[in-house]
Amino acid sequence: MTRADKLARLQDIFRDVLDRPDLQLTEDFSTADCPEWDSVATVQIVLAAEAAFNVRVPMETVAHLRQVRELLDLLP
Amino acid sequence: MLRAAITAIHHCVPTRRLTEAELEARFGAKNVQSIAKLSGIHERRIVEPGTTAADLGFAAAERLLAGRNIPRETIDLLIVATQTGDYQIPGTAYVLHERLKLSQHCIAYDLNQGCAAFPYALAMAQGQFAAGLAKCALIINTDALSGIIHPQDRTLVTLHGDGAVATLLEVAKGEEGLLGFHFGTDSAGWRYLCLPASGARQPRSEETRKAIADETGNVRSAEHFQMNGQAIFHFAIHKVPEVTNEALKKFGVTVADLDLVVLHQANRFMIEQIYKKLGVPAEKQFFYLENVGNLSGASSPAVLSEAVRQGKVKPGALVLLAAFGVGLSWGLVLIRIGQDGLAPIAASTDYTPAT
Repeated sequence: MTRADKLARLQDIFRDVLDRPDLQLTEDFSTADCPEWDSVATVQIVLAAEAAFNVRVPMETVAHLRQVRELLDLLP
Repeated sequence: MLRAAITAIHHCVPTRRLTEAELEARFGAKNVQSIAKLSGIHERRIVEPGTTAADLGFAAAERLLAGRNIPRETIDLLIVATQTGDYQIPGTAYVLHERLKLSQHCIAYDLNQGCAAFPYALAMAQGQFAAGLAKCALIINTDALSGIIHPQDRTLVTLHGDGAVATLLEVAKGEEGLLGFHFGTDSAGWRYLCLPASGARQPRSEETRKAIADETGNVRSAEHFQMNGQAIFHFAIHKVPEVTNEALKKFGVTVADLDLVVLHQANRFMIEQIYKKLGVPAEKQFFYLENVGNLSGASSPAVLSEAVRQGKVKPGALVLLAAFGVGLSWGLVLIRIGQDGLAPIAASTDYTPAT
């Protein structure tokens, strides 16, 4: 899967969790760009990404996750 | 070798209710409703200024001992599990030993543990029964985190309540008692539940008193309890089902053998996810957080106590209790209730200074 494919799958997850159906997700997208992306949303995004990509995101990454790129880098 | 059995349990929560309306005025309706939707917590019980976790623990224990007519001199072990004791020195066990008028033959000490405290305290007591050091133990799990949470930290204020639970352990007869334990630690996460300026490593100062707002508007200082909610949530969702399955295998039982599965009440969504992963059917689940909040170290025993009060714990029931939190740590205990059952203590669960 290419990085662009992964970003596209993440976009579906972010749109669903943040309830922003028109969101155009970029690697730079961060918590600073979206007040709805709070700690609760982070957990929901991570859990959905883990299920979609069959991967376990390390606790350290989850603790400090602020930007799409940080999650994208970990996806297989 | 003696084994311990739970023969009475009673909990106590403050009467002051921290309502949704109060929090909406403080944090905004949208924020509060969003958290409540996930947490399932709509009201928290918190202590009034001047009331401490020790006061709550005293009330719970006093009512339990009076309700069961337990002579004070028969208590030979007192364990107080708290992270919000009256003093750094001495342990709160000594304060409560005096207030409860226990005998000089009674062993007393504190257990510095957070949300997983109950199974740890039960294991300590079990060890002392097995070693012949105790035959009648009183465990008090009590915490009043409201005093160490910054009032503008919505991630913690919205979730936490204060409470205490007193549990009586006596020598097991027949099949009843504490049948097995399972514990573990992931210390890589200790920083994610921490009160930084609370000991020798970071002495309190002008600097530690400064309140700082993070990018989401949560305010706290180094002298306030801090939680990285997303790390803890992620840890619990994955780790608790994993270690619970390990424990079931170790104990040689399955979910089908259990009558009740008690979980630390961190938030409702998390508990539901854990129950789902474990395949625990609705009739074996129990929730006690909606109107009291997450009671920290008192949470898991309070669930058991409330289940007893509601008649959900039948004589001979097999109960699995799992608790997790600060450390990060987890503890599980398999409990067989006696054939005589666990009758609830008639006294109120509302705290009043005069018990």
